[in-house]
Amino acid sequence: MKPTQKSLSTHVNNWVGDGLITRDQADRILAKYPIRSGSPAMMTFSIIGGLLCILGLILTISANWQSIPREVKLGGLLTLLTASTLVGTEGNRRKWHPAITEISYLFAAVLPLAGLALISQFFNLSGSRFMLVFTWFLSVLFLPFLSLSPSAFVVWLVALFTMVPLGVEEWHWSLFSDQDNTISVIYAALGVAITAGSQLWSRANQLVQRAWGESLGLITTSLALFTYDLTIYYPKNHLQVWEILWGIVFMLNLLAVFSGYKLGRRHLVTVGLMMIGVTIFSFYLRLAGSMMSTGMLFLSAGTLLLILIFVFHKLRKSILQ
Amino acid sequence: MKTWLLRIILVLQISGLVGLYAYHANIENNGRTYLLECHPADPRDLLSGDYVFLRYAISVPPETLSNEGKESGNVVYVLLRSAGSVWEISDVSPVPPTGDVPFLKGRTYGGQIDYGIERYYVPEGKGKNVPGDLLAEIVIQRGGTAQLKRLYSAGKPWPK
Repeated sequence: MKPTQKSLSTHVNNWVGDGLITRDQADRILAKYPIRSGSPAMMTFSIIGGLLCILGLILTISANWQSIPREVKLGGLLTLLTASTLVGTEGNRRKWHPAITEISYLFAAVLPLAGLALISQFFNLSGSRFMLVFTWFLSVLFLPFLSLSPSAFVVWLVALFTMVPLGVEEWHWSLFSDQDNTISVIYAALGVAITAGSQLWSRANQLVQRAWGESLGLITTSLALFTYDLTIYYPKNHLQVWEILWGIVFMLNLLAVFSGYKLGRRHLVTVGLMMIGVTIFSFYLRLAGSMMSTGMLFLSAGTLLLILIFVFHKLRKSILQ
Repeated sequence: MKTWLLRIILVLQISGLVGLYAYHANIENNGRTYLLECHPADPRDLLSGDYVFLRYAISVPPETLSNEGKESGNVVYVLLRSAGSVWEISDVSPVPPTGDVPFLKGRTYGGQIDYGIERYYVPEGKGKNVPGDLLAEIVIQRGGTAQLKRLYSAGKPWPK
């Protein structure tokens, strides 16, 4: 059994009493050990027991779902919502393990959507999907900024990103030749806005959220520019711009790698190199795709992918050293 | 301070969900009901639960009516008239009608009108053998928004 503060305190206090060490040294020794022992066997059986209880509860509920009254279903969900928010806030205040706080806030951010879906199911509502996600987004609008939880912020971003295609589809927006291109342009702009806006997290010293915002913003903008005008099977009667856009993606990610190196932000280097790799690979497929037999294309593309992975892995390590 | 704000958000979330539930429960229990002819168009089985996708007799506006129902994405108001025990379309208008005429608010899509009542949740496994002679009991809210209450087949509630 590993020594703990509890098991050592008697001995250490005796050493202080005997004049072998000072009180300050005793405190420093104790600080090196955990307060209580977490026996691996006890931990393992606790986790298994907990999982069995949760699984049993889920199975019991799902087996009796139809016979459970609506009010009980909604009450259960609201109880979970309340518990997750309260555990999250208490976990923050009492400095519990960050995983407990994060999982709680994750539930607090997702459960309002589950509640809305549940009510839709009760009353057979099949209206606007945009309004469903928009209502969910409104209900968690301030949650990430008050809880300072990275998981709540990621859910917030997911809700925001989900609203775009639903809104464009529902309102038939075709600002850039068709709806797909409109979605791409909005996503590209939103990605830039998220990356820029995420810098504000620095003021609250929340570097994890800033990293998530920057990474997701960069990926979103890159993929949006990739997919703009991406219809390759039909002849176009207008100028194709994909070479320019893919070039912009390449330069943008090169800039991200450089910024990551200069500012010491590892995630920017990783995401930037990944997107550069995707750009090179996509360029190759688009240019060589129609010129080779399928077998040769697969062989060359596979080789290129392996080379890219190896080279970028080495490059990333040398940049981050 | 932040803890209090988070608790206020929690109270707002709970109030919102309870309010939404109470609003729809009130409509279901107290609203005037109408019967519409419908048939299952595409029984589906999704993670959210089994549901039957419904097409109504009033989903397709008659050719004799104006072109309001033809263009996609438009909000239209469908006036109803009684035809025996069920209700059918009497007119389609781009503006809500005045007076005491029952009407439904819908959105046109590919020559058809969606009313937001096209999905009916059923117990697991009951969405596979759906009878073709369905009648839908709906409640119409003020403003023409409809809520699907229950389905009937051969005069009895379906599924049993």
